[in-house]
Amino acid sequence: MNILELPVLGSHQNQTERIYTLLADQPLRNFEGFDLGVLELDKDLQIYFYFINQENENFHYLWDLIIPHAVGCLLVFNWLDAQSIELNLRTIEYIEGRFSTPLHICSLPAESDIPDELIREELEMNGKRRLHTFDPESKESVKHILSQVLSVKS
Amino acid sequence: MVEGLVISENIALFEEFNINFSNEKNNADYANSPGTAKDLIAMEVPDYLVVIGESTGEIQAILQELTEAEGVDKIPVLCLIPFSQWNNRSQLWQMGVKDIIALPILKEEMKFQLDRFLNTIADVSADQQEAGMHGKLEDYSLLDLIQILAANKKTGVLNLYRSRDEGKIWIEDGHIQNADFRTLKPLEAILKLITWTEGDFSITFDEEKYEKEIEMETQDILLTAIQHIDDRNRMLELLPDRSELMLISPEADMEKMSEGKMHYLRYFHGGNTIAGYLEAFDQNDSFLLEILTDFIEKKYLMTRSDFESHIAEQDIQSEESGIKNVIKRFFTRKDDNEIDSLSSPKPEEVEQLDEELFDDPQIRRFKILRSREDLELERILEKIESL
Repeated sequence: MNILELPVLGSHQNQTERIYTLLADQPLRNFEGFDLGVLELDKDLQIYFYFINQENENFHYLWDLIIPHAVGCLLVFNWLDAQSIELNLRTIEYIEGRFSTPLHICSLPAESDIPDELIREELEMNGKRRLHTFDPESKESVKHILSQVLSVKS
Repeated sequence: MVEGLVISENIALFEEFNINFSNEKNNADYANSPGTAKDLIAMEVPDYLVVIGESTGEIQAILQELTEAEGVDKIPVLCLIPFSQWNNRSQLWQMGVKDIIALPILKEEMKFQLDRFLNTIADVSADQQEAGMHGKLEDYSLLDLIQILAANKKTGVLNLYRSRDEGKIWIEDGHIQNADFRTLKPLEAILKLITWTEGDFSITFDEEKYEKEIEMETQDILLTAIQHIDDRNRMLELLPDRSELMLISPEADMEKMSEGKMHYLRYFHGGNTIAGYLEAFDQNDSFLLEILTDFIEKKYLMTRSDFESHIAEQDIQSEESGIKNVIKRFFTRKDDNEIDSLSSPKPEEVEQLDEELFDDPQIRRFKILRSREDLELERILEKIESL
């Protein structure tokens, strides 16, 4: 059995789990500090989604366990959730400073009035950061993000 | 935090003002006309007004219209006028404005002038505050405060602060008239506020506008509150300590649960305390505790130590399950400080571990794809596309 690991950071209220639930039939499994979603692509290939709530500092040690070995790290960034913006920016800095795993910022809402240039400017986009539009209602949006995550060369 | 209101037809002027001079201590709202300003003032009275106009006449007209709104005469006004209008400023002074600044002005000069203006306001409000009283809820409980105000037949507003939360209770002649806390109804708000054992309070004896929402007698409210606290304490005694981390059991069957209950259970995703749970929801504590008791009785929720022993027990029972073994090996902490990390084993060691774990040919073998060389990209992309 081959397993691909994908940590997904963010806040629960920002529908992070939709990245998994839109694609899979199986419910998420709760573990201490994270939720696990197992997406079976075929009988010997699975993607493990680790949903880690970045607000709970008790479980930040999980980041060190999971992120270094993952093919990419996803961060769900909701621009309308003012409370989480600063935390997200801190998370970005931390991940980039500590791991070489490519960081993928999944920006929502998809239909917002915030111009793309402004988001890129706010995120100070550089070669390492990758920005995707995330629509928590659209399966296609999630599939597109996953394809991009897997296609990126580290 | 000082809240201001900028009135100007030109939004660009407000934006420039906001970008340059708003900070954590000072924040400004915007109105493009006196009408909008009046609406905003009716909702929340700002600490100061800034009126920006092309001429003193225009500013006079705005101020004239604003004076019709209740309470505006007490708000300090700062006027920004073009330098060409400087000679006409006496008309504005006559209307009682607090300060006038001529434009254009250097940013640093403006900052200095504005700081001076805001300091004057702060001094005035500090003077006003002295008319009331303030203190800590650790010293005086809300029950004590209400009883004191009721016994002395006081009229005023009781403000309560805890962390970022704020609650208000309006009292007239010692009778509770209304209360406000988050989205709760007045009586529910009092029952929630009454449980606060820490935080700050202030009492202002100004006649602040309110609507009478509570018909109940103050003594009856106090009796209800005491009863509520007793019930709450009785329920809490049967539960784990309020500061203990609670976790959702892996067996909690979310699918069989109603959407309403799931909403409350989801709060404990990743671990949270009962104290945090009671603060998080705009609901009566008794209601919240009933739901919580049900979760704990059904073993949907458990303390960290119970959770760990439960998981250990489960793992023993399902030793043959490959997936469990992988997760257990990867996420078991040796103790609070030392972590059995994924990062420690080298790839060949992992291979060896896998061999040990999956010696039994009946059990499926697992391989974590760590490097991109291992990825059969096209196949994976094809599979994702077909989902």
